[in-house]
Amino acid sequence: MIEISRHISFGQYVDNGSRLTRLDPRAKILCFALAVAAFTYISQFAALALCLFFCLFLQWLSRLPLRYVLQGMRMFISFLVILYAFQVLFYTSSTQATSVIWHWGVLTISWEGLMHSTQVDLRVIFLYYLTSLLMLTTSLVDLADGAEALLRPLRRLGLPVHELVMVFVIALKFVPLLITEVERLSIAQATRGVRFGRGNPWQRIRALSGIIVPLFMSGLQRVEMLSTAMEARCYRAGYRGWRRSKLHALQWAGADSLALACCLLLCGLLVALNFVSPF
Amino acid sequence: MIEVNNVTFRYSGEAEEGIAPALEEVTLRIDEGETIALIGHNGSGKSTLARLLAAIVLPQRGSVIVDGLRTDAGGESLWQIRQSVGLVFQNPDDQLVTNTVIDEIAFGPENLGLPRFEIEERVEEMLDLLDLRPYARHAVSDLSQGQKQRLAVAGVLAMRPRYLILDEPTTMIPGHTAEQLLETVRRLARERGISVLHITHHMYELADFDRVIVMNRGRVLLDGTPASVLRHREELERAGLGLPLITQLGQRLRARGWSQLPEVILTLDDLKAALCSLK
Repeated sequence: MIEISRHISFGQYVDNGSRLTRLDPRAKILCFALAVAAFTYISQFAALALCLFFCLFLQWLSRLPLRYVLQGMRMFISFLVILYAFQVLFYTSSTQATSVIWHWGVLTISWEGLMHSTQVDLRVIFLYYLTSLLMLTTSLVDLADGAEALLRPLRRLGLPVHELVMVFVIALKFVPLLITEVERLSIAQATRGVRFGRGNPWQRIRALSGIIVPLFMSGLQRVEMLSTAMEARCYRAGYRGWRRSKLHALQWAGADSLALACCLLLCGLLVALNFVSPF
Repeated sequence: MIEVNNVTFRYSGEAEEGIAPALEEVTLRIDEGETIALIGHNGSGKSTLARLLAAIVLPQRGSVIVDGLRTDAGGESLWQIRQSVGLVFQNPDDQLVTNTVIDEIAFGPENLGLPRFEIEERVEEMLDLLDLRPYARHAVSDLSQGQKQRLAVAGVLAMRPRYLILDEPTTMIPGHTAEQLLETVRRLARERGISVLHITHHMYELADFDRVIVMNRGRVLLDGTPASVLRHREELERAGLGLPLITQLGQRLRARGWSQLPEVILTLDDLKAALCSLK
């Protein structure tokens, strides 16, 4: 509990000049959206295997140490393992034609349950990996600029696109800060003798409330301070006639088109493979 | 020039609870190029005054006028004031908006709608001025607390303010880093004619400023040069502020018969010089 930031890399950005880092954020966001849609759709192991190869290829392109990325996913995967156990044990088949491996009371381990839960959790891991990688290789400002450029047509419908993107970006920015805060609060509570992960469920919830309540309070205070600081630096969200300029110009290059084309091809392959593969 | 005329400010809801105003009948003037230390106990109204000067909050009675513009005039003049009065907060994590060093420096100039080449020029200038060049491509989360605070100052200075307000920027950073930061800010003030208002509760930081303003219970208690302010020992103690250790040492030596020593000694160098001159 106390050294959480080591095990979560979500929301961090590493500028290592890799091909992925240099891609136009619009291309990255479009590829990400396509991949998420395809990964969510597929349900066969053959297609999942292709997803794994795709993730490995992205990992190679990103030039990030695999260990760093995996360490960042450790906590999420531990959480997923617990969920997996529940999914398997309480799996109820829609067809009733399950081959039961083990049964005790309400708990059942069936072949179908194992297969289904594995597929679901692998998809979730791949989706989490894609999201982490997008953030590890794209700065918040690039992400905001890319999202804003892609959503620009919605401005005609009266949607405050810039403000919505900024809210999203700031929410992402707060992830590592809140993780550090949880760490700080855990240490503070541990030094007062609070023991996390011990006792009955009620005692555990009570121990956690010592972190969650101050975390909310400090989160709200931080948001208020940040909005004041932004206003002090002439950030005028919603102010009529205000136009921000940008330090980085978005430039769509050949590599971006190639990335998008490859991603489209992969998504097509995934859907086709999912359709024809028996597993 | 900033003029604060008979300003009274109360936070919403405080009147009903019978709490005294955060600021009461405050009048002062800040000239161009002045370096001022604003000191006071917790709750003395220092930070509220900073927010009034930067037009973050508006006075309920009296007026704040920055270079001829009233902060309560509204419209475009509000943004002109915010551009010319830069505000740096205590905790850098609360005010850094983006997640890379360059983007953070560019945030303010982008809000001003400056052309790209000018934003680039200002970013380059700030990287050198605040010694942030080695960290230019770093993520904000990888910086130390002192580096983050330097980045916060760079982000504000990139807007080329005429007045720089530092709201307890040295509280969360180690002593020697704080000293370096203050020295950099004073050097910039000298070289560029920027007025600096440094809010602190560390008495030992007063020595190197042109002027010291002491606040107590929402009012200005003392205003003058560091030496003239430190002569009012009893009033300072009533306001919960003790004399700097070096000043106390000088006074004890005087009380023990070293009567030729000056009444107020501000720095160790002053004490050494005074002792040497006795021979």
